[in-house]
Amino acid sequence: MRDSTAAIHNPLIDSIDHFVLAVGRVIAWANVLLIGVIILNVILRYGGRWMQQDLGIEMSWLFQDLGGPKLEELQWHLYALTVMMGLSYAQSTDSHIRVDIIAEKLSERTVRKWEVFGIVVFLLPFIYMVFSHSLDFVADSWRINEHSDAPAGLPWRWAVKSVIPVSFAMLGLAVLARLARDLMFLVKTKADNTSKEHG
Amino acid sequence: MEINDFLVVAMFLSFALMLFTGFPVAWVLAGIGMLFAGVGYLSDIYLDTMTGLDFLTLGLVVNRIFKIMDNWVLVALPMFIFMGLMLDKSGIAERMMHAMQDLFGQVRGGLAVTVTVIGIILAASTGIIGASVVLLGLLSMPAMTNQGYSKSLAAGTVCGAGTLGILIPPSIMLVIMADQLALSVGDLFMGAVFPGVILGGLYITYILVLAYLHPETAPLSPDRRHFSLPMLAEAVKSILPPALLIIAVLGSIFAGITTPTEASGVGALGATLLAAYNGRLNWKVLKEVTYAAYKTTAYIFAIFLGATCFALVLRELGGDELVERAITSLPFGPYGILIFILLIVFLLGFLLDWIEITLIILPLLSPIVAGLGFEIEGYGEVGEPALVWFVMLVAVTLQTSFLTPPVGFALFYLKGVVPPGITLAHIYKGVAPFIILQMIGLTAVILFPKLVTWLPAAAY
Repeated sequence: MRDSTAAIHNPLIDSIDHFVLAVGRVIAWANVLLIGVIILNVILRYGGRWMQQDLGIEMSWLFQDLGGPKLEELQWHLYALTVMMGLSYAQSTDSHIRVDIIAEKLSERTVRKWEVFGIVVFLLPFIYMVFSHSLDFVADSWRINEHSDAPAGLPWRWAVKSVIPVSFAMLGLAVLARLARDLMFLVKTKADNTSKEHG
Repeated sequence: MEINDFLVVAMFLSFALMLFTGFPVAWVLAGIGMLFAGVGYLSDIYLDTMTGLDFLTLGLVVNRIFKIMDNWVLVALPMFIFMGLMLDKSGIAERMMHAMQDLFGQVRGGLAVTVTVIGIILAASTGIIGASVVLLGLLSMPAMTNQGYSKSLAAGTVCGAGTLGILIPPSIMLVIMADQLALSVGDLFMGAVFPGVILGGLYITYILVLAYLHPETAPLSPDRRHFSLPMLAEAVKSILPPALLIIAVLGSIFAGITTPTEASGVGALGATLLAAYNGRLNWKVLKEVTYAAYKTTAYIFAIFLGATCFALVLRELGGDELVERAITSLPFGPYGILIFILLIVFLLGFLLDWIEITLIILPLLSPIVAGLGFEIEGYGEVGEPALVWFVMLVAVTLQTSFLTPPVGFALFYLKGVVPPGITLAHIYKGVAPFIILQMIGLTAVILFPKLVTWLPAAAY
């Protein structure tokens, strides 16, 4: 983290951040897996066509059962997983884009106060809204055991849909950790200032 | 004005204002959306408006989030980002820099030309302005200042070449624009080729002419060597692999061999193999690139989520109609309105990165442009030629905006990494000629839409 809240330590907050980062470091590899799936799909498509047309080997089972719709859908499943779960990782590493032309000229305490304001007024309501609506969204899909629109596609559509509540719960955790750090920073520096004034 | 219109204006203003608190852009967008959903709900009750906004309506945001997840085009995003980050780590840039610096040692301004070419080749892979300007700045500013280049020429070159990347395919900005406007990624990539080449050509011409007229701005290196074949061979060896990779990625899209998504995956693998070929690939690099790609994709995606919430509420408040009414009621002809729109985009570029502009502003503006009735020749092959042309104009305008003082993004990114002794004033002075070149390029594309639409049409 670029800011001095990193200097604020609390076993609970630290372990939340560690948890979010650890999960992120595992899921990040889904991107590498995605490269593999894409390459495999291309190979199966052209390899299958080549074997069938030029070598006369009947290979359509290979790319109809394994390749084709299933692999293509797997691609966006993996992508959806990485982008959604990455939200909390980006939050814990403090990498979300900010316009800090003015903020960098303000005092650290003012910036922290705005951060607290933003988290409470902007971010937490949004997370709550998406989380609560997404539960219904997943439940609907679960009830009808939703399958891909394509007959040869992947089953269990609810699984990829449940990435939304899970990732937002993780984001909520990361944001609460940040909020706690900011508040502790404000309390601590306030105490420092008062003790300076009195001392 | 009606109450709705006030709400729309208030929504935009609060967004612009809250942006400066330094709170993440994505969450300001989401939060302002939430807040104005509440405002709309209350005004329905007390002010007799008909926005229909309430907590239930906001549930549509979840459906929209899923639409962004269930999206084949955008799968290319993490892949191109992975490819770009891997190319950065692969040591290709340094190698190209040294080889070409050697090769062009005898040419006045050769070093700045080298920087431009590297910028174009590498930027083609990142498309994130911050990343390419920083990379190019770190790589080339020390070399140019050591050789006695004028500080402003050096700074201007880096900013110009670094921002070209948002335009030159495979640019992730064009992928997102294609997704937002339901255009073909291939058409946009091909449409961007000539504008990109023209801008790059203008840059190089300017540098060479300036170096010829004012030799003191671009002195030759004291330890330059005469041209030799091994020098040429080394230069070719350094440029060929990344150039081949980019050509392979674009070529397979253009030739219809693979979809842009598949090409992005192949490109990511290719960049990894290149890094291995250069002996730079190890466990640590792979880990760094994987984590960085994960993080970068996520913060771009966060803006998608925030913009989805913002745009939904804006539409319910009647923002789309207001913008359309305001712009079409201007007393200008189609070209006047087009230039007015580009001016707005230019000004917004001071405040917002291309991601927010693409996600919020572009969908508002494109129906207006589509309705202006520009007769752009699509040769029966390019879908929506007027929009493809418009997207290129927006792309060039945005790039210009990022270059323009006082608050262009590129300038600040560069200021962050330049050697001490180069001030913001040097940078401002240095980019001025490049802004003029951008204007020339933009005018050319406005006057000759064929520069955009001919290639995608000819390729099919």
